[in-house]
Amino acid sequence: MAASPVNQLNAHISNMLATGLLDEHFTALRRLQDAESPDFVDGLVTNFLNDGDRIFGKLAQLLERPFVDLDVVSNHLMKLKGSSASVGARHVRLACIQLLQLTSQQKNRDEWISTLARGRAAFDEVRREFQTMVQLERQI
Amino acid sequence: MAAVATETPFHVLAVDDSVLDRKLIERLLKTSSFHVTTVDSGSKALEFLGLLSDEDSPVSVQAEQLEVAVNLIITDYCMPGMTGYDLLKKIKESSSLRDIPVVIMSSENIPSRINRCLEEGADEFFLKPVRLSDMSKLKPHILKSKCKEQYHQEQHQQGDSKSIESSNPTNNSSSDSSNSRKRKAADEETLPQAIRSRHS
Repeated sequence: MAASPVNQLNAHISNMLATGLLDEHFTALRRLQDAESPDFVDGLVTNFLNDGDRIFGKLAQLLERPFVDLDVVSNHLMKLKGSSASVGARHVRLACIQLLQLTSQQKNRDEWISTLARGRAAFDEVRREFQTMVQLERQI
Repeated sequence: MAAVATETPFHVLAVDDSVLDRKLIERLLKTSSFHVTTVDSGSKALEFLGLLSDEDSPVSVQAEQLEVAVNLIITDYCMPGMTGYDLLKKIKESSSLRDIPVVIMSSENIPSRINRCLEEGADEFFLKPVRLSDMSKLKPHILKSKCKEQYHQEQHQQGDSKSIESSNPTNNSSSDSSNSRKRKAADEETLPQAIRSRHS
């Protein structure tokens, strides 16, 4: 028997939670959604994905410069850390924390670039999973 | 079915530069039956509150001239330009706004930051991301400030007339007035000195 669209959606989200991509804040957001605000969660996810795209792009540009302004880098990371925390995107939040730790250490560019690449990969993963979630929602 | 008297919802002004966090706090507040206005900066918050600045000297507007009364202000700490702390200071410096409870939100758990805000007069500090359970902490601060407002009103009325009239609360929560009278005695020492004229 094929799983119903609702079951498929819930299974997908359960998987995102089980793998640590998302945390309980995402679950709390789903509980806040109701008939009055049916697009609440998707709206927040869209905001988060826009923030992530924009900020990872800016960070890559900043790290290419001969002189890297770590204050500006920190500000961007704090902003993304905040967005990811608010939406429950756990892996991305942890990646931001890792990158923020680099700002207080004497790290060379290579270390920055490899840590940033891992952060970017975490973001790309949650973006793919969120896109699948939205597709499953549309089938309901 | 018995008719239930509905109270006017309390009005919260939420200030945050992040569109994501604004949407979140708005949903949390609405779910908790508050009426909400969101703005994206401290200066817009002051504009909304009617606190206009003429160059360096702010001209405060009487609270009753506000289109809609604000019962509580909740603001993010880290904002470009005017921080939540700067906004808090401006509100506390204003004779017409300083009794409005202010709550600060921050994603950073920095004790010195928290203490600084509380010392400046913030009523509460929420760590982000804010949860639904945090919303239940807001109403007590609103009721406490209304209790002070009612005390001021009564002081003013007693000063004007010789006969003792019982004054009816003009706003919400008349069911809370018995509790608010008990709290008055405890609050007396902490009430601000200035007794401003409110409604006639």
